[in-house]
This record gives sequence, structure tokens and C-alpha cells, in this order.
Amino acid sequence: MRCPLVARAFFIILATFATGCAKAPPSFRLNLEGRNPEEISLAQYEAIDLTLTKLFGTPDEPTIPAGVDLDLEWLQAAAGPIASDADGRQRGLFRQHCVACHGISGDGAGPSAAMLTPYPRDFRNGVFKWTSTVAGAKPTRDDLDRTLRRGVPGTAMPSFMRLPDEEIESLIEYVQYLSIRGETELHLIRLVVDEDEYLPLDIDWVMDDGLLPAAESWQRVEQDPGRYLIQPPPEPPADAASIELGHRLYASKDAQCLKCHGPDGRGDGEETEIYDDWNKPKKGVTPEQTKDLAFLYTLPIQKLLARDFREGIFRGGSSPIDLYRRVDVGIPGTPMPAAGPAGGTAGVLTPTDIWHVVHYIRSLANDQ
Amino acid sequence: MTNDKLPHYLAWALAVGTFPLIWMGGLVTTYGAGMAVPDWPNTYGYNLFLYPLESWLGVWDVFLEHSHRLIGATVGMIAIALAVFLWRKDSRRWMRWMGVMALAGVCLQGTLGGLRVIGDDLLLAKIHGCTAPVFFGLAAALVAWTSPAWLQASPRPNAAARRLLWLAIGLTLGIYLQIVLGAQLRHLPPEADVFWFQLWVWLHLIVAGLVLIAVTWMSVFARRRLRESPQLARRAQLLLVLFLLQLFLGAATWVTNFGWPAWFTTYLWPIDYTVIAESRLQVLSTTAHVAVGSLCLIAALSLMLWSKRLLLTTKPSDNHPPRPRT
Repeated sequence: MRCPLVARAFFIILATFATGCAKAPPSFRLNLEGRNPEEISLAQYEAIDLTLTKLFGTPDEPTIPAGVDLDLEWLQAAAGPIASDADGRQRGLFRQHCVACHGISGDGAGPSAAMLTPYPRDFRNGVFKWTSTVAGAKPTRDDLDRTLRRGVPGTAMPSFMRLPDEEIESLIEYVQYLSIRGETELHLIRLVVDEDEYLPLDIDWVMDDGLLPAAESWQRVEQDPGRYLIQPPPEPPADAASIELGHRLYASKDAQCLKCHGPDGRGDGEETEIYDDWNKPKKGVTPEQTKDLAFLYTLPIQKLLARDFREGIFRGGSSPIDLYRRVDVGIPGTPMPAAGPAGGTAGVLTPTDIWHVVHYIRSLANDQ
Repeated sequence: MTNDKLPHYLAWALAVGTFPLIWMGGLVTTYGAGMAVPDWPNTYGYNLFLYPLESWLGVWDVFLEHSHRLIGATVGMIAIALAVFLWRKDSRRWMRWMGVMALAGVCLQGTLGGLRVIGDDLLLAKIHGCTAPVFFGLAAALVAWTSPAWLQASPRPNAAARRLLWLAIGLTLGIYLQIVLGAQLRHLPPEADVFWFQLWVWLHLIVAGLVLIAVTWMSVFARRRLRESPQLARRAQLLLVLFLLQLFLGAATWVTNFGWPAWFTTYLWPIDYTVIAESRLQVLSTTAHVAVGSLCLIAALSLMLWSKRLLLTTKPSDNHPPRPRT
């Protein structure tokens, strides 16, 4: 029997309205990026989900595991559905300001993510681009604060400069929470799926080997800034000599700037196949392989474009110190390498050389 | 029918009151203030009209949500008065029922808004956002139906009437579809898959393109074929202007919320622009896009109603004398 046109239209309208509307409270999405879900048994899935829920709660009711230095009050203000009270205290800040791009799990795959370039940050592997810390270290709270207040120019990441301080603090707390949760989740998945760990899981073991190291990596940079913060020497004058020297260093073979940014800093280097750490695994050796791999990821593969300095759009900030940090330690999670000295070894550039390169890069932008 | 102008004035008051109601509702969604007052029909336990002034004006989100409710209540009272006057004074039976429908509409809309708050329900918020322009359309239609011009109009035959009417109907439906698609984007659940956002954005763009073609065609068509009905030609021009403004606001909404698209900054013009959350520009463009969308709807609806009222459809045979037999 054929369905009458009116009835079909009614069902289409109903389906349209009900799109994605589930009455059940939102839950965190398991990080299955790059994995075939069918390879994970139901028991394994439940063990991971149960352990994570026991440790971190849910998006509506987050909890802080013992030994993790996060503020529950701030966390609760950021979590849950969007609401506010008679005194104007906001709740659900993450859902109001961040979830459309970063997703409920902080996986950088929120509803709008696929239409954005670059994709929003996936917090779950604990890698952040705009930091003032040495390579491999977590960003400080100030770094996250700076990114939130300044935004990321040339991308969809807004500046939250109009938000009150306490709301910014809440969002920073929630980003750290999602990141620690995400790193613990990755540890759990490795343990349960890759190493086929015996179930049920020993939660103390998960705490000691996965959760606490992730949490401590955040605390460490705050507790020992002398060791983890980049300490640039005083900036030399940005005169013609410094710019000229910077140009020579920029063009030198060791610095490798030309490879991606090109001889004139137009972002037209010979290396065009550049991918960040979130997209690199999506790239197969052949186009067919890349196509097959696409089914294992939420977002399609996205290429990086090397910065064209002449545009003057610097995503991590355009001040000399911002650029110094980018050249010194690189951009974590991207092919932009560290040029400065690190871990007792000399880099390809000395701290003073880095300042000269910064002056050259800024001069390209100022020329326009 | 009646020559009493009061229902007409009341219909105007209803339509004019509904427009700020849509603005305020748009602002509530833009600021995420829908749950700033968690109870309904009371406001933090107070009767709607007795909520203390200092509490109402003291907190921005509460101000938005409570103001939305107060304007809604005012529109409701106007709807009651209009329904009563139409029932008592208007001799057109269908018109009396239209007054009742307006009253039922405002009650339904208020209840939807209330249930959205009580249940903190995103689906109801979406439906509430989609039914508001329908009510606005009904209020605008009441303005037309109660106007002296409508009552005294004498339809003229026009060969293009049928085509114009169908185009106006298509435009009204197309613009409403745009509103529904926009509501999908505004009220997307936090867990929604990336597929849905892309689907709604592309559909929103495709339908916008189709409506733009239709509106432009309508404007040209009205200019050429409706010289004897300047009221209709004016409405067609107004619709074109409003829709062009709406396209501009749509683009502004995207840019102020997501920044300039990468293809634009990479290949056309590298603009150093940073999105600022809750900036005046973002809030105004986003909310104006919602409000002007409703204005486009009633402009198309008005064109549809008046073309039906002012023009008589003629069969091709009425205009062309039969060909002589050879």
C-alpha cells in the first residue's frame, strides 16, 4: 500500500524536528578514532565506559578523581545544560560556548566541526598548540587563558574577552578536565583493547598508570615554572641589521623554514603535503588507502597550509614573544619544528638568532 | 463585515507587538538565556506581572527571558481583545474564527515556550522557534483582512494573476522552509553528529539560492506585468529588498560566529579577523537574521494574500478572441 503524500510529508517534518533530539542526557563519546568499532567487544566497551564514568562522572555531573587538582565548583559551572540563576550565575558554559565546535567529549568533532578550517582542537590527547612551555610540556593556565581571551585569529575560535573572569576560569578547568579524562581514556583503550587486559579492571592501576600521570603533567608546569616555561633572553632592537640577519637565518638550510613557508614567507614552500598529528593517521600511502581509512575517523582528512607571513595573520598571537615561542619550541601537534635549544642540546638557532628570525617574519607582515 | 476600524488597529497592534517578541525570543536563544527563569508560568515563584523590577532589570539573562514573557503576555491580551471584537463585530464567519485562531495561536506558543522551560527541552525550543513566524504571519494576515482596503477592494482581471499567486505561494512556503532549516542550526543538540550540521547548512544555502531566484523573478515579473496594481508591485520590491538584506545578514551571521571561510581568506582576501563571542556584532547579526527572516515571510504572505484579493484570474480564452475559422 502506498503511503499518502500528506502522511509522507508529515513524517518528513517530524523526522526533521526530531533530528538528533534524544531525551537521555548527553554522554561522552568513546574515543574510537582510527579503530574499527567491531574489533572491540561489548565487555571491553562497557569496562572502559564504566571505569571512565566511575572516575570522571558524566557531562551533566562531572566528578574529580582523588589526586586530581581541579576545582569542582568551577567544573560544575562549565558542565551540564545551559542555565543561569536569579543572580546571573551561569551554568553549562562549555555547552553554551564550546560544544558546537569542540564536541561534548572535547574531541574537536562538535556538530559544526566538519565545516571548519582548521578543525577545532581535540583535547583528548593533551596536545595544545599555543603554549609558553617547553616542548612536550602541557600549557599553563595562563596559556589557556590567553587563547580564550584572545581567540585564534583567522579561525572559528572566538575571543571570549567579554566573559567574566570566573567564567573563563571555569572553562579552563573544564578543558583540563576533558584533557585528563581523554588521556586516561586513551590509556584505558590501549590497556583493554590493544593489550587485552583481564577484566574487570583494577581501578587503582588505571589511576596510577594512566590518570595520575596525565593530571600531574598539568600540575608540573604550574609548580615548576622555572623548568617548564620558555625563558627568552631580552629582545634585541628590531632594526634593519636584525631583520637582515633574521632573513639569512630563515633562508639557512638548518632552520628548514623554506621547506614549508617558501623563500619569501608566502607559505609556498615545496612541502605541500603537511598534516597535523590529528590528521596524519588518516593519510594512507595511496589515495585508495586514504579513502578506506576515512571510515575509521569522524572528520575527513584535512591538509595544513603553511602560514603566509605576509598576510599578518598569526593564529598563536602576533606579538614578538608569541612568535618567539613558536620558533623556539615549534607548534605542538604540527610539523612546525622546534628551532631553539631543548633538553641540554643546542637547537638549530640560538635564542638571540630566534629573535632575529622573529623580526624578519614580523617585517614581512608589516611590509603589507 | 464592519466599517469599525478598531479590529484593524488591534490587528496592527498584534503584528507590531509580535515583531519585538520574535526579536526578544531570538536574543534569548542567542544569549542562551532560555533557562534563565526555571519556572513557568511564574517567574522565580512570582506572578509574571509582579516580579520585582530590580530583579528583572538587574540580571541580563533574566531581563531577556522575563521581557520575552511580558511581551508575550501583552501580545496575548491584544489577541484576546481582537478575538472578542472580531467575534462581536465582524460579519464574516471565517474571520471570526481567524480571531479565535490568533488567540489559540498565542496560547499555544506561550505553552510551548513554558513547556520548553519546564522540561528544558531542546526539541520544544526548536518547535517554539518555528511556530513563532507562523503566528506572526497570522497576525500580518489579520492586518490585511481587517483593512478598509481589503474590504473595499474590487478585483481586476489579470492574465498573470494565476502565475503570480502560485509564485507567491511557493515563495511563502520556501521562506518558511528556510526558517525551519535555520531553526535546526540554531537548536542543534550538543551530541548531534557532524552530518546534521552540514546537511542543514547546505540545505539552507540551496533553498536560499532558490528563493533568491524566485524573489528576483517575482520582482521583475511584478514590474512588467503589474503596472496596474502598484500595491502588489511595491510588495514584490519590498520582498526583494528584505531578502537581499536577509542574505547579507545570513553571511554576517556565519562570519561573526565562525569567522571568514578558509576559501575566502586563502584565495580571495586574507582578513585578519577574530570572532568575538557575544560581541554586539555577533548578537545583532544573528538575531536580526532571525527577525528579518520572519519579515520576509510576512512580505511573501502579504503578496500572496493581496494578489488573491486584487487580481482575478482569467482564462487564456478571456484575453484572446477565438481564431476565425478558415
